[in-house]
Amino acid sequence: MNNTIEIKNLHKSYGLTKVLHGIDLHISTGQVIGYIGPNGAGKSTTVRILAGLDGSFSGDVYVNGISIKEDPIAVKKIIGYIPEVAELYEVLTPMEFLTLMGKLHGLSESVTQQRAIDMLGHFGLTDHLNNRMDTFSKGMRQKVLITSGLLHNPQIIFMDEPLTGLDANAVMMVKEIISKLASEGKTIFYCSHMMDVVEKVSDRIILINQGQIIADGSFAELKRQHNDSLENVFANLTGQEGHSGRADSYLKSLNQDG
Amino acid sequence: MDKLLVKFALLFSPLLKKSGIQPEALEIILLTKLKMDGRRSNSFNRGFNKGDRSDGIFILIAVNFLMSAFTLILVSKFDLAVTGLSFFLSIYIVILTFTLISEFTEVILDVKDNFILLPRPVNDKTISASRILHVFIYLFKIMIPYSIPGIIYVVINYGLGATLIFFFQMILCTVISLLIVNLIYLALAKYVSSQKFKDVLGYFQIAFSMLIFAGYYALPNLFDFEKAADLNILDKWWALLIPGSWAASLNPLILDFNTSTMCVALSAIAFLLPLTSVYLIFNVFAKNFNQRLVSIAYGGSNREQANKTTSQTSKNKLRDFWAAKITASPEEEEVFKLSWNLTGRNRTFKLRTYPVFGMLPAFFIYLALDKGDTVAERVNNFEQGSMYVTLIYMSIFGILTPLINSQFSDNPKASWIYNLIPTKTAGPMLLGNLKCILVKFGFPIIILSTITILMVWGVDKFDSVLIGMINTILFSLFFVLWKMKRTPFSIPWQDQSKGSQTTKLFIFMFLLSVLGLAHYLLLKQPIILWSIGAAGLFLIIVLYKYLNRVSWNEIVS
Repeated sequence: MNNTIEIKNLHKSYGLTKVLHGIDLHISTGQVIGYIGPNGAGKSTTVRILAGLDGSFSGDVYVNGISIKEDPIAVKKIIGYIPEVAELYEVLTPMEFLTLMGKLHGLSESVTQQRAIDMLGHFGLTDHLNNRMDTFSKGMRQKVLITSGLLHNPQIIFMDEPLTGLDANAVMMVKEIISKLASEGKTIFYCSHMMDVVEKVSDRIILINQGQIIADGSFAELKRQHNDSLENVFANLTGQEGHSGRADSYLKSLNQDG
Repeated sequence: MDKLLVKFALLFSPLLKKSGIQPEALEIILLTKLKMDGRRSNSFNRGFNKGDRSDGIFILIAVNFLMSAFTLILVSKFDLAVTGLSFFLSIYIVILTFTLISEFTEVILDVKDNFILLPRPVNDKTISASRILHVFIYLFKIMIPYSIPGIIYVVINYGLGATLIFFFQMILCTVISLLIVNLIYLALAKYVSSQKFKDVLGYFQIAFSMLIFAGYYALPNLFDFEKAADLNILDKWWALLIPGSWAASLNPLILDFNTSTMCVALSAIAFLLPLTSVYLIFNVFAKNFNQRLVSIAYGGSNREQANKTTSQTSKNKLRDFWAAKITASPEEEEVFKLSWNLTGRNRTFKLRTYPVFGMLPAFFIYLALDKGDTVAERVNNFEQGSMYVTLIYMSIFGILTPLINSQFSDNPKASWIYNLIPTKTAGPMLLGNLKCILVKFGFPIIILSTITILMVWGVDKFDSVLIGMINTILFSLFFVLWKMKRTPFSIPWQDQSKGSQTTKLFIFMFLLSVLGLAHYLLLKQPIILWSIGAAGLFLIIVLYKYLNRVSWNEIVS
């Protein structure tokens, strides 16, 4: 199987703070990768670099054999990116926003609008297509954001916490969308700290902590190696054990009088 | 109009393509950005925001047209074209520079672009080009309305030749403004982090509104335009420092063949500077602009965080001192502290409050120095008169503005905590907030105006100051009781202009001016004046008690 994403010795720092300490990763076509780690582990940074948003790193990153440093535009053409925070131009309507996104990917206006109407319709937003997004709830914005990342039918999709703010029905639908996309042979890089979802959608789980990969394998493999649930494996490897003890101490604070 | 302008820019598509720009992407980005401009609120349309379409831009155009016409009234007092034009063009540069920085920076430095546009297959050159064109179109919308009154004036007074030069001068000054703005950005990007960056922009907005206000109200009364009518700016060395005179010097150079050293030097600056700046803007500043944006958005906030905590602890001492001194219960004390913190840290609150403290003195100067032909005469009339009564009653605006603004917030939902205050009445909540505003904003103003009055009009005016102070506090209590029975910081800013608040405010202003007038008329009747003061003091006590007993049922949250 050929490698869709190849990362070699990736280092990244912001000023003096080192965020990534030498990530090495090979991802084959059609895999769904669950990229997990505690807050501040470097998940979003990795995704931003892979999506070509941040060119100031050291190491080599190839997407579909294209070096992201040398030709970020070629990479951006074949990927879809769904960022962590719902960053949208809120004064626009979903239709206007998606038209912008589609056109930037070289789709014609009619194709973009047809797809936008269809896709948002399935998300139950038909009545809101022409309302400004500044009145939208978190979940509605997230639906527009997910659609904007998939609109141009990309080969590789990077998702950073795509389920934020969605209700249970929408979550199930997005999970289904992810598995269907995978069965069509798309590569999905799924970034999250919600273990249960990661467990269900991913073929392969990569756990990072403090900018380094500390576990890599299918859920079954990780379970076999550690003989535990993903949550506990996570706690184990990121050095955050003894939750029960810490919960006790937390509540004990209530008994202290200044 | 937007579509037309974009279409015009795209006429150069083949040329754009050659230089690596993607015309299709450029078109959709520009059209979208312009659409967004029309829906954004700016300094001029804050009140009637939320309306649809291109209100924002329309108001911007109208305001610039009016400012231009107003400037021309002052310009017409100068005999010499070169002096008048220096003045007119300098004001244009100031307005343009400040408008660009205060209104447009957030658009131009929109960090959202990094999430929305950067992941798409659009190259840096296209994004830079879209930014530059976006700025040009925006400039166009300021330049044209500002030019039109100018053109009419120049045609009538100086003839056709001067008009042709005038077109060129406007473009020249636009380029000079752009250079100044770029230099400021460059400095900010280098020394300031993202959070601070927005604060600095806020200060620019505050400074801008104060400047405009002070310029148009105070300047005409502080400056003897009549005396300066025959001023020839070419005789003054400081003309070299005034950007407007660089461009204005082209008039005598071309039309009168004035080849004095000064005139030639100014014109030389006028020619060389834009060329250098266009080169600099395109080749130095536009380079890596996006990368620098990312660094503003994500980089280096640690050091600043440390600074922030230290400066805040020292301020806390003042806060805690007053909170302990002036409040009656622990709950009231906490409300006081919370209001203190929120008013000090919320950018929107500062933006809508602080300009008043610049406008008040400017407006006072405008009112006070109105009588007399020369500045000296005006100052003399001022010292002889009774303007101090006006000053006393004007200071209440310095309390009312923050008081009214303390109802609003960027996240009004967070005000649920007020509903959990475990007190029998809502009094501590209302009083805690009011006392905070009085101490934080009222005291400094009252002290400042007292010092001014005692210094200008003498110590014997202290009785008036004292009575005025009583009335001021009385009025703020009255105001809270009458129209602020609600949880603080609980209305979204967007709703600021909604509702019947304005009528009530007018009634309130009317009452205030009646009181001020009464005070003025009774200046010669100290006994009546003092009885009013005593009655005021008594009323303060009554209202205070009443306010303390306001029940939670009356509170709007």
